[in-house]
Amino acid sequence: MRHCPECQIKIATRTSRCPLCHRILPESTDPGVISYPEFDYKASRRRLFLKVLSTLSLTGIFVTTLINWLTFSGQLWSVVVATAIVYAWVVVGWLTFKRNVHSSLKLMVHAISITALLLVIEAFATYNQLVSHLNWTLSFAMPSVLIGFIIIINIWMLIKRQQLRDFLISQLALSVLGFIPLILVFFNLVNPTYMAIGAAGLSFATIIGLFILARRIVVSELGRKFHL
Amino acid sequence: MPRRVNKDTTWFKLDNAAKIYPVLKSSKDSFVFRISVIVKEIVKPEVLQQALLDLTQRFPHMFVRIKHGFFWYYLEANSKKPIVRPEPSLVNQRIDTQANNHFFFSVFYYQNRISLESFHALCDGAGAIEFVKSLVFRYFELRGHEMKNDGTVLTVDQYPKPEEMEDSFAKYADKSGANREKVIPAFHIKAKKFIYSESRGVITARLPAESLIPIAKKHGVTVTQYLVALLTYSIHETYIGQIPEKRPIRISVPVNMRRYHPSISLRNFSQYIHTTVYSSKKLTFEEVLLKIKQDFETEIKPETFQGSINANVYAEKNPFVRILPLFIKKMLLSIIGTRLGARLETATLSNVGIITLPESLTPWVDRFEFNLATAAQAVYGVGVGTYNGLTTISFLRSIYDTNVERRFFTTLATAGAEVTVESNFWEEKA
Repeated sequence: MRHCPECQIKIATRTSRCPLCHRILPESTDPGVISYPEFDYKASRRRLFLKVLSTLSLTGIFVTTLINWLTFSGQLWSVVVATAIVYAWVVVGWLTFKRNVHSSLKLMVHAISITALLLVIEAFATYNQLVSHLNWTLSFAMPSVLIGFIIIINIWMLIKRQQLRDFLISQLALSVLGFIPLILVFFNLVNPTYMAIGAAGLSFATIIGLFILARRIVVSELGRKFHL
Repeated sequence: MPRRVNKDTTWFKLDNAAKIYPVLKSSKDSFVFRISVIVKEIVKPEVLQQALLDLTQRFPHMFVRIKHGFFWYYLEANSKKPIVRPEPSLVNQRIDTQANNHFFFSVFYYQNRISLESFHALCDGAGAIEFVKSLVFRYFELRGHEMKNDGTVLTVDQYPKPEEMEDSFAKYADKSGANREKVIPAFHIKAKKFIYSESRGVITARLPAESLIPIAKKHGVTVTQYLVALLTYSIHETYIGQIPEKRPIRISVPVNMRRYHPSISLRNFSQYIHTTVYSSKKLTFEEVLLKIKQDFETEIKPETFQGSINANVYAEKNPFVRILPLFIKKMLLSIIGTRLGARLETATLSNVGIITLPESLTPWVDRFEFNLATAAQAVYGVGVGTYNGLTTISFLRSIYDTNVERRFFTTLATAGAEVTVESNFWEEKA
């Protein structure tokens, strides 16, 4: 074991310098032990990549907003670009890199964000009146997206019945959202209404089905999620 | 195999102290601590893996994942298997739950070292030591050695008791009144930090307990008081030019509440005291010792701890707090934790005391080591413990400079202790 005459300590680690004062140590016949694993830190590259990507995203939003403002001709197209960048972040940054989030929650967030993106595109990428042109998204796109994602999670739950609990809350939340197109029918924002009725019907069937077929698990999961 | 206790143990509420940790965790504040056992053989990973799996039923509160509720986080039994892995070069980094099937602890092996790194939301140091003792006991049992439990270790053939999983803060809170510690902004070391926020330098020293105890006795203080005073004085000497008059050097010292209540909980049940020393050019070590001793005597009182436990439990039980959705709680706790919590301390020192193992296990265990978490502003965590007459003192830091450690250990060596040091030399790597 090496000895540092300056600090008056013995050094068990294999080294030529004192870990305290960093002076060169006198020679010793005992080489010492490799106390800790070799340096293998790599995580910083991913972090650097995300920092570069966020800088580029913010710059992109700023530049397009500036160009839109300087050349404004009645169309707020930069909002669409900004929303698309935010959407890309949600999909790439959160849904892909966020590894500890369950797939069902990712699907739910995806369903909401894709609907929001479509709404923004329809609202800001046209010259015409806002409400009439949201009709396509509200009548067709939104119910279709909700129906699609509810069916995907239902199939997934059937395949992975052992992990039913993990899908429950996202599926229940998505099914509640499935009633939104039907609610919008009463505000005359949806026409034709058959897709909205389809989304609400599927949502109702999903909620009732879960409560009938997996009542114990649903009640237990709700107890956990909403404990005070 | 033992069966589960009668209550549904497939999910637990986080204990009172644990509630803050999932909210505040980051790469700078991982709230992860490490307990290592250095055994007298090269660790066999496959045996260690089996030993860990065998503990699943005995320590249900550890084999969980942390889930989001609408109002609070909660712990849910994790049916997957934790995987023992080779030790990484980073110490106490944020738990990579994905790499370990969503568990919030990791078991590592490196040469003859077995390490448990645990997120603080699962347990405190005392709870983690029980887990590590059981793991090593089971490991040597599976290695074919005859192990006899003399009551100092929890074994896989026992049933877990409900009291081991209780939230002792909630159990022992009473209506005797709340008492909150006064917030005194502490001095924070301003030194060059490692480039990567997760990097930590480790310097661990081991010395015979019989050489340390007389040094403390000579000054009329306990070993913990002496070490806190020495840490305070080492920081004072190293950073004397930087310490503002109104910012004291405050050392946070965890105290095991199981000493004051008949709790056998394996989860969190610790409180913190803070020692406060104002730096000045004329400050002497004797003055620091005297102040630390006074602070210990003033703060370590059952009624003070009771007031603090009550305050925390009242806050948790407050109906207005309870009905706030988790995302709002996270925002509020994050502000409170960042603005107040970290301001309180310059560094943390925890002495877990003397660890005892069954006599049949002692021939196979050389020593224990303890690595505390550092925080964004409190750049030093110092873990102390004694096993089989050998005291280990482990400094974990997030800065390049090693002068505090140099002063600390040189003082001990000069006072007559035979100090042997190991380091990960992170200052030369990143």
